[in-house]
Amino acid sequence: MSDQKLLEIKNLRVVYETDEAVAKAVNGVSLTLNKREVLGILGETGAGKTTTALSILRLLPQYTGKVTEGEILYNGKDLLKLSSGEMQAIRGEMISMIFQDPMSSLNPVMTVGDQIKEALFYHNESKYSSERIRQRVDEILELVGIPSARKNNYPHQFSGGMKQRIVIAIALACDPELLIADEPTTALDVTIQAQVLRMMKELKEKTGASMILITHDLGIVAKMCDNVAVMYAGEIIESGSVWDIFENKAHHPYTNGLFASLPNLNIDSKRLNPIGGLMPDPAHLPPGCKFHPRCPRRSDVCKIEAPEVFAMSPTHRIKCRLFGEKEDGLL
Amino acid sequence: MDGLRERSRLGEFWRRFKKNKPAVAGLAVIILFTLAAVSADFICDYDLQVIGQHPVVRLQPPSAEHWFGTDGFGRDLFARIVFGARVSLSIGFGAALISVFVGGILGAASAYYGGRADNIIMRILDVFMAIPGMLLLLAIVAAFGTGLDKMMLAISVISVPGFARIIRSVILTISGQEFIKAAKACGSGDLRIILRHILPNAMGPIIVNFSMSIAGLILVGAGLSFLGMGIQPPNPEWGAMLSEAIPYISDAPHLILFPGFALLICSLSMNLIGDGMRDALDPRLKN
Amino acid sequence: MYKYISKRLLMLIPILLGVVFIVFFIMSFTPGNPGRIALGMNAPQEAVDKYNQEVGYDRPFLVKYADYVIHAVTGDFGKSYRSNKPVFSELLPRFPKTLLIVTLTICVIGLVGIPLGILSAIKQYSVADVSVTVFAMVLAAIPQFWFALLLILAFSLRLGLLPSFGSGSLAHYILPVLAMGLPGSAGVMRMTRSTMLESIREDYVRTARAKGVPENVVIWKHALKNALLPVITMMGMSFGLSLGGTVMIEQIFGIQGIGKLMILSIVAKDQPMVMACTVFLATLFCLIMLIVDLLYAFIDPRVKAQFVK
Repeated sequence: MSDQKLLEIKNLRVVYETDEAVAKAVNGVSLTLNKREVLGILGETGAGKTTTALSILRLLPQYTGKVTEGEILYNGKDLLKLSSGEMQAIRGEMISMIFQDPMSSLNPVMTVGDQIKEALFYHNESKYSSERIRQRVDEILELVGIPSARKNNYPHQFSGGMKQRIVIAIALACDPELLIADEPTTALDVTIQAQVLRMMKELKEKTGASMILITHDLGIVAKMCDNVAVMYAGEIIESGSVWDIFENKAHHPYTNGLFASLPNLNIDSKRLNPIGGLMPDPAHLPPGCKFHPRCPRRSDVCKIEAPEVFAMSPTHRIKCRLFGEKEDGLL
Repeated sequence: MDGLRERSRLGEFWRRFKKNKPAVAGLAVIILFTLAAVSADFICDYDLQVIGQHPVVRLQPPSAEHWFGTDGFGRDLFARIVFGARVSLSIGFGAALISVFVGGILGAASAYYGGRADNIIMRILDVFMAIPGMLLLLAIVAAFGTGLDKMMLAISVISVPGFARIIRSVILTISGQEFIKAAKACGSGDLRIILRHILPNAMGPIIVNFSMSIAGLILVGAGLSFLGMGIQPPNPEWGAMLSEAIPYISDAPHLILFPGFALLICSLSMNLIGDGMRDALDPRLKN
Repeated sequence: MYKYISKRLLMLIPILLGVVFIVFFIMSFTPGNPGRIALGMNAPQEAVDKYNQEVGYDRPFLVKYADYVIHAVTGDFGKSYRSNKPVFSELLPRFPKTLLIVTLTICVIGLVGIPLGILSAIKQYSVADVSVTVFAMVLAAIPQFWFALLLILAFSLRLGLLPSFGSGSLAHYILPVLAMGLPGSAGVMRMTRSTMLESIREDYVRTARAKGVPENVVIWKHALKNALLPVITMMGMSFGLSLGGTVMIEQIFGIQGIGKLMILSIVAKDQPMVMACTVFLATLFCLIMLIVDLLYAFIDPRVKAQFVK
């Protein structure tokens, strides 16, 4: 695994502005993705995962979604500074995205073949003939396990799992370097989930792409990812390798909460332990540490002062005051 | 307790409506027109100015004495427009009230009984909707004759099917919702469910559709009179006034402009109110 | 597909029977009787009665209705009381003029309403959007017949550019068509704007953007095709409205179409002719709505799927 940086996000801040309020969806997110690596972004609904992903492709909702601060460096170039034409050339060709809901992500009035063909057609640097493009559509369909004869069918003629395969086919059509998968299996049945995940992993190996996998499912993270970033209220509160997150003892209280809320087959317990309370409203974030209203280990300082990020190891970082002293001790 | 909740709901509605400046302006204009229509007898003299003919002062342009000028019979145009507001507003509101009432009963029956009754009612309404409205209107007027009351009924006939459909779908949507199922599960009777749950929730969309339809009905009424199939001269009606003004179109264009603007402003204001009410009722519908 | 079309055509039959019934029922309340109208005020009562008996006017309502329907199926819609000629011999020659007005009106509605609606949606909150919204607001409130008079006043009487009466040349149709088409386009404009705004926010539009499709293709191909479905229905409804509106417009511009014939016949209490005009135009409207439904199926494969199986 090479350690070349493919994508680096620095201090990204995104807000949604509506008539009534300003929602701070992403609040200073920084993360790095190396080539051929899979980064999992883990968090509850509303933590800002999808917003972060959409910011990379500059697909935030027009008029309401705005990046207020930060840089998104892709191979050293700041995507936020590109012209819309340059950005369009990158979308689909170098960075592509798999969306959460396959039911609504495909255009109902176009054949799936045409929808895959489009991606190839608008990124046709090699000046392929239309015959070659047609072949490629067939190839890519077979690659995701759909008979190429079905390319003339419309989305409504496919099941949910197959639609997601088509969405994946569209994303993979141009062999992108970076694939962003936003909860790719959430809308699918459990049995289909496993199939789709296995296929994505294989395809990733085959094409050598890097991947950002957004999910709230710890199991998927464990299966698929090299590194993990845990998001809460628009911030990354803990990041590290899969080993750091799953095997290390030291964790952010929120991460601990996530693990505690999973059913554990080894321990005989009467019930699950969900985290009390709700994610704060992004329009009215609490002062200090954003997790403090739900934190079982909060102290008075947490209510006033936002915590710093502490490095537990070269890879493992936690944004929580609890780990400050430890680091001092180490030094 | 319930009264308080009702009032706060109305208050919330009014607070949102007030924010919509065009809608408030529309409301002000309609209140002005209504006041003029109600107090028309105090503003001008019907026999003298509205239908009394004065050949000496015919076709005069607007002046201090005749604000909007005079028509081909020397009648004061301002006075005629003030009295015309009475006719147009009664037709608009009257026909809309009749339609919402009859359409409400048909739509509610259709939604409530469902099955066969629903099918029969909807198929009959389909047939009515297959005839272009103006043509049906003309056929009715041809058979039953003209006059304010007949006009109102005829216009209602063509707008009932639309109302019935809307009200049916509103009621079907509401009765399909969870809180109705919950009320049923709690053992509330049909009548209680209809009065306490369905009706209060259906009122909003019904009132919005009611107010949005008025402008169109005013224009239909004026069009009918314009064709000579509605209010008959010498009675003052904006559409009929326009039709009477055609021979003088090049000599006295004010005869065309004023009644037309009265119609335009009236229907524009009603549409603005309707839009404002829709947005105030459900802000999500606003883009 | 053929199966669907023939099925839909069959479904037209009860609708049309209903249409004829309703119009026939309404018209049966018309005061006066055909004998009096045909023979004049001075004819002796016996002659009038004899005439009424010959034409079958004195029979019960349902018998007359059945008789009308049976004859109508064979193409016989009765004779005009006024001219004593078969109604269609008078109606059909006028049809091309009415059809031309209505068709051109629909073109204006589509060509003005749809592009402005799209512009308004893709430039949401811009000056263009606000202007189009205000424009549509005013157009929706404007009475067609008054707008027609204003157009005549401006373009015929003041500027002398266009004819305002008759139907001699294509230029004669410009003002009538604008008078109906511009106010008619308001609804389509508002509908296009709102469906476009909706479809621009759909997930599949985001997918299209994410795969790097140029923005104009995203709008014109992905968003528009989906946004147009309800707009097409609205265009069909506009057709019905224009069929009604043409009555007023033909009257104002002195065009000898079916609308003018209808007014003439109403004034003359020419019941068979009023019947024929109404039924003819209602049938036309039903056929147009059928075409709209077929177009739907053509554009949206999901609709097609419903009736192919």
